[in-house]
Amino acid sequence: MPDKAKSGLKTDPSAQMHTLEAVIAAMIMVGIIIFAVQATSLTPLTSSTANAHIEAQLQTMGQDMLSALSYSSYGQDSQLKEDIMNWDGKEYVWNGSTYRSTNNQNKTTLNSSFTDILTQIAVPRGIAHNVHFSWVADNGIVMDKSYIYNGDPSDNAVMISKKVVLSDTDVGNTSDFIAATSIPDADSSTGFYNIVNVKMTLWRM
Amino acid sequence: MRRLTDDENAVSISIGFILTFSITVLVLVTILTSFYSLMDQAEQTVMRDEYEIHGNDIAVKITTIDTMAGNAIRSGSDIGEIRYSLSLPEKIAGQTYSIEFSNTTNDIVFASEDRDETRVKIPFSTEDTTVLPTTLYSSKSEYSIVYNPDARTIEIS
Amino acid sequence: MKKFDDSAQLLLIAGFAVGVGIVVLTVMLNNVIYASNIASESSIDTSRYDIANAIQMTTEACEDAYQYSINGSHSNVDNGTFRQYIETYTEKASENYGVTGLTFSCQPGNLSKAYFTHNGLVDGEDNWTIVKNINTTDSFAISIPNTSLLSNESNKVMIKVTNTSGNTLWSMELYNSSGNINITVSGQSSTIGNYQITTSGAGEINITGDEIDNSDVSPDFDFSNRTAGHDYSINIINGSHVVGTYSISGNLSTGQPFSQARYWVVEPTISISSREITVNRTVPVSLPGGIK
Repeated sequence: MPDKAKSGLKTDPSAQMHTLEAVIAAMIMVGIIIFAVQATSLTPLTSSTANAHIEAQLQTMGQDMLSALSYSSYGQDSQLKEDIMNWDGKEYVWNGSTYRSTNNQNKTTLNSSFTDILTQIAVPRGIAHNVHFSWVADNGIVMDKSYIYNGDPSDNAVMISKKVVLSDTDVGNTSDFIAATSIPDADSSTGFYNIVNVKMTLWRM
Repeated sequence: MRRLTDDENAVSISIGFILTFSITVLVLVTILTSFYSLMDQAEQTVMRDEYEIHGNDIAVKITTIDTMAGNAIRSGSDIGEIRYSLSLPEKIAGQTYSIEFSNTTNDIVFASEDRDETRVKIPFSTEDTTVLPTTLYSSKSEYSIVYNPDARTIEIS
Repeated sequence: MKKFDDSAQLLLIAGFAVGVGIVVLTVMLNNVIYASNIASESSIDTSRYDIANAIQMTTEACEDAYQYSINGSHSNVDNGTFRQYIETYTEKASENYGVTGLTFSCQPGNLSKAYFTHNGLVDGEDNWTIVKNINTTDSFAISIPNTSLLSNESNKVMIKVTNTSGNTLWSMELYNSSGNINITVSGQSSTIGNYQITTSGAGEINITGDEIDNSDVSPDFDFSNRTAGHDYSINIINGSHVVGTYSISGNLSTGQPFSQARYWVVEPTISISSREITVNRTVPVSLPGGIK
């Protein structure tokens, strides 16, 4: 028998072993691929945790900042309302030490409660910020004007908004206010002026 | 010595074949079984983590309702209604599950059908309201958390 | 046979090794991908901030609307102007909230007379502090226009001035005795005086000005003398048993001036709803609240 086993390729009985081994190897490979595919379908594939945590942190920080600004003690206007009323309509940019306006002539610096709180909290932590004031015009279109602009936000940016009611007596001279900020009087027959939505966008650089 | 290495007297083709074949089959079966237990482990981890996430979501909503209710009670306002709509998946990792609220231990307990290893307890806290104890089943998939101002309770259904 | 056996064994072993390697790699990779993919852990629910903002805005709107509805004096208020302001406010607010996906609506309700409770409603807190840490009071006046809403002797209403250690420096007790208002003013240990306002009187008591219904009283209430030099707070006890108005102004011990009054109370109902949450509640607003 050993002699027959040592004969050439055509009568080589070890071909059965070869085939069996090939088939089993193939089955193992297929089994592994099936397991791998089935295992990955167990995972929920959504955006990464790290990003979500950063967003939650920025959201909480921003909400706290705006809540602090919109606090009004008995009989006083909130600091947020005062900032809106003292706004001269220009857009300001942080240049490393102060907020300078972006118009061509007569550049001014901005000094308001908003800038105080931002320089205290957002700037030392390297959090970039944009602030917009937006309102709904008579025709239903949402108008937006930029107060502080520091570039376009990145992917994990968070926007926090707070709404403020303005009355005719708060605004004072309506024509001056409209000329500066272009926020119109929603109803001239009542003392109600308009509602301004303060939107602050925060993102990490 | 040479005679031992060149000796092919006891070699039988059929037995050789049977041995190889059966050893191969045994190894294959062992590997496949270990595949299944590995998958099971991974599944359980997934279920536990998913339960924790959904449980935390529910706990945050309960606390938000409690804060709003407490706030209104202290300022003397009347609350008409506070209602949250909640949507949870019907099956997590291929298994339905149950959610139990207990106000004695202030816990939300998630358990999948037959496995005890996937029980997860998430604590919640309320100050001015109490949560009515109840058990929900995941096949409902749409739930609502409602505040009852007369009894100062939070009902989940 | 031996040569082929060797390469067959090697091939099979190699196959198994590769297989096990892929399995281990996949399981590890699976765990890594999985561990960094749980996002819903930090769900950002801003509805409670939106609702708090809505309550604050509505309170401010009511206070501003009130200022526009006064026709000369605080007792003469135009309900129509008040409603119009609130309606315009509601319209604009719903437009603003609509942009962010929330429906907002507000029913103004009518202005009603205020009880002396913390929030002005009959079921509000009975015992509360109007102002704390006062240094001096420039003017303090209350008025009780409708005596029938004042309780009798068993439920006396008391205005108590206490210093930081809790001692009563000055107090005034009011109750209804068959249609007349009986007032007893006491100092720390003794009574200063007993007064009475008859049913025909307007029920106006000017505490710092020592006047009842615009005529001087004798003996004086002695409010400023008894409270001079102290850091005190003004409290109300049993406030739900009287309906009236009060106004007070002065300086706090920090140096800041304060000025408060309540002539009316209004209770608008606001309701906010989104896909996730529906909230419906009333907001009691004291008018005029703080005076600028």
